[in-house]
Amino acid sequence: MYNYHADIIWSINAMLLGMLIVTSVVIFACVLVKSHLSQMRRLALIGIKKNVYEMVLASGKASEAVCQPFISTITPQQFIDIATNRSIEAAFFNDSEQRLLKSCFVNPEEVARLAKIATRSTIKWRRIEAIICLGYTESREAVEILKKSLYSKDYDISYFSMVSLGLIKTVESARILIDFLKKDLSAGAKIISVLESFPKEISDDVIKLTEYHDPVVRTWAIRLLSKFAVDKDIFRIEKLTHDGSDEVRAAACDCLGDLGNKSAESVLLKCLEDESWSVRRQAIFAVGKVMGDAALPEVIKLINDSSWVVIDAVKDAMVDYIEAAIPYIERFLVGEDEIAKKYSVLALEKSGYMGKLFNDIFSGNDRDAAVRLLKGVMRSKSHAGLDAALNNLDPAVRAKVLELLVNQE
Amino acid sequence: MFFPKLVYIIFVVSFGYFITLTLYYISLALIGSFEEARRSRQGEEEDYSRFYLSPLNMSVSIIIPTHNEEEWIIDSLKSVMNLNYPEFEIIVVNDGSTDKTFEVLNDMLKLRPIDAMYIKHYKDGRVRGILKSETFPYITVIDKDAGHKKAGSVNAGLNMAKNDYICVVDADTVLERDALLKVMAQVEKEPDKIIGIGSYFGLVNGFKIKDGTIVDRSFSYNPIIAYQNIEYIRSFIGTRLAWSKYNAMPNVAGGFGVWRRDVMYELGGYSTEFTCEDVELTFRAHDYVVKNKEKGYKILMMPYCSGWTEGPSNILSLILQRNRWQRVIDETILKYRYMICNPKYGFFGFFTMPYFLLYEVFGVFVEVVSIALVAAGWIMGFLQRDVFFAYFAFMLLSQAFSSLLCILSFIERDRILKVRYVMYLVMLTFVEFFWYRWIISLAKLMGTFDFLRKKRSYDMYVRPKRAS
Repeated sequence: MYNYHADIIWSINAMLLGMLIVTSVVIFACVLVKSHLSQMRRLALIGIKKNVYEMVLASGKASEAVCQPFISTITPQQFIDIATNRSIEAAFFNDSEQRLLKSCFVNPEEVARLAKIATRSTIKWRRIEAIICLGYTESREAVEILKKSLYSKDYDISYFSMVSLGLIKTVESARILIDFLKKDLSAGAKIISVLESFPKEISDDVIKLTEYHDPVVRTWAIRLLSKFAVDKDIFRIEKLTHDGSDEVRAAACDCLGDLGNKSAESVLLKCLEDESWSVRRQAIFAVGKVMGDAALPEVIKLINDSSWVVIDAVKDAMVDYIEAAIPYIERFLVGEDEIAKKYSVLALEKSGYMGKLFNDIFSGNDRDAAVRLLKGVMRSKSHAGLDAALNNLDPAVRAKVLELLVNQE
Repeated sequence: MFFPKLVYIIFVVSFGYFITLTLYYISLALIGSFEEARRSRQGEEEDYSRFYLSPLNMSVSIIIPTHNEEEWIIDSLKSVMNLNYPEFEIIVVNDGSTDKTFEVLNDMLKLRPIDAMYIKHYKDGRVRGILKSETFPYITVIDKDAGHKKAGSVNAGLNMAKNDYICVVDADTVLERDALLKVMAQVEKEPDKIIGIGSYFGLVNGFKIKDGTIVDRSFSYNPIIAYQNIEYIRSFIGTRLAWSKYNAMPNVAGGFGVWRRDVMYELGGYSTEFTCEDVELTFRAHDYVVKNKEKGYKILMMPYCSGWTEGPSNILSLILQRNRWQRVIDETILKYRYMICNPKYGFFGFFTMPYFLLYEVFGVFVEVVSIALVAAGWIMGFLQRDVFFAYFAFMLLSQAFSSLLCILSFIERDRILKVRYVMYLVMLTFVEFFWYRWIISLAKLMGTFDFLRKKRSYDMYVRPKRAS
């Protein structure tokens, strides 16, 4: 008989059983405590809501006398609940209530209280809540504290400091964020999305960022510039259409299009010939925004582009300026180029021009041209049926159009 | 004397095996618990309104592959349409449905054929037509022949997708409104590093749904469903979150998962050769980034409840589903066996792969053989009754304990489960070993034999009609 050491196994089992019982009890207690705490949190918020509602009705302004009775009892967690309405199932705080509470928090004592928690608390998420609240106070002291915590080794503290700095929309906080971006590129996307809600005063700092050595940073800077840039910055952005990175060039085209300045026309037209498809595609959109349908003759030339993404952009341009595109579409439909035919029909369908053709045929207004174009569509064999356009017509109109088409044929 | 010696050796080896496995589970559950707490707290403190309003946010193409889903597709599609996310397109792929899936889609969407550019970069099968919704222009339907499994359907959607991120949603999954927003807010933190991301989803059985919105969250008390709920919690919270922390995630689940499109392009989309597609794609993604020396990449799992999917509600359906899961694990491990304990793959090679090999592939054999031999040994008098029951009790208790740890971690953050249901789950964990575990073992054994017989079909179990 081998020795199986059953006694050892039973000891392990006893230990496991003990842990099982303890875990079961903890689960039971946890469910009850959680449910109770969540109820308490809800009730506390309802209480605050009642107070604030009465105060807004009474004065609507955050004087010391108004704020004093309750502000020091509000925890950072409750403040965030109120500022972001994240516990909406408990209480909803409207704009004036949120404003009143936020202005109550903007006093040196409150900022000092929050700063103490943000820097000294041993509980990480309490610190983070205080960090977020500091952002809402928008005070100078808060910027200093957030600048320090931004460089914390703890990812969460650093991240929420970044978000909190984004709440303080000043040039100073923007500079801190831009400096951080240069040191930690992985945070770039987040920082750019935070900065986009900043005022135009930060444009000079963003312009400087377009000269940064890393193309990713340059691309982000240009994307931001479409929100901030003014006419004096145009030449700098135009220069970036010659950048070594195709992503930067495409972003520059996009930015020039958003700015809509006429002086960029020639630069954008040159970009239509760029070696990268992403730049050509972006140039098509941009040149349309700047020149309108006057750009169509140049854009149409790309219907034979090597990239289908560019051809798709040409189609979108035709859709945007369908009236101006009709002569080109007529030419494509009778030509030999199957891709041009296909995209011409798509442009007609997407722009809703098919419906107009039918109405023209019915009303007799420009009927010959409409019939000619429709025949072109049908003979091109690039359409997937006219049912959809016909079905949108009034039944009487549809019958008449079909009759006319049959007679014409 | 050979048989007693064999029983003794098997006993010692299998006991060591289960001790190791239990310790592994407990470690993962503890790590997962901390990770869950951290991620949940991150989500709680995040201000999603800013992300939602940003014009720089990341656009997503949502692909819904569907095959004979007339019962579910409308609710699933509506839940996707209701998503609280600023910019997305929806591509529904009708994979040769023989029921009324296409008709119900047409009724809802008012489809019309279009002659769109369709480049077959990914393997998808014959596409019959591409249709656009007249009422919802951001929805495209691809009608294709069946025959390339779910992978072929998703690949067809990939061929049409325009946006930078791809989200795959099963046609029987109902998403929470903020599912995509929460996941993409995470991606926004490190878009250059995060290549794939998934999030927790549970079973919808028992819920009441109206127009794609869950109106009543009553979890099913059907024990087959309840055990699956425990398994989902054990899998998502107990293991995947811990693996995710060390970038060793083996599976971005097919029910709801987001991938970066450029990575998907490089990978060549989903493989139609495998029984299922999601596990294999995740393994291939790890392999791709390691072979291309892309440092710092991440495949993540989030603990947020992103959606709810229908689970099999009877034993036969469950066996069919688990048989399929077992086959895909066997196929994937066999193909990527060179990753096992390969230092190039870091934690994935050392933590995840050995687990898959020892537990997911061979575990079922160890379990069945050891219990059978120990029982035989007791019957034949080679070992005492006391030893047999101690061994049996150990297997029962160790599994129950790791399940309870995961449940504790889950309820600690999420308040979805009501007190009564939590108690029910706790009670079930104590009796899981007496029957449910053996059903799963049977399904795994059948799956392994089917794998050895080279069966690769994507078997769908028959779903019961939904109560209206």
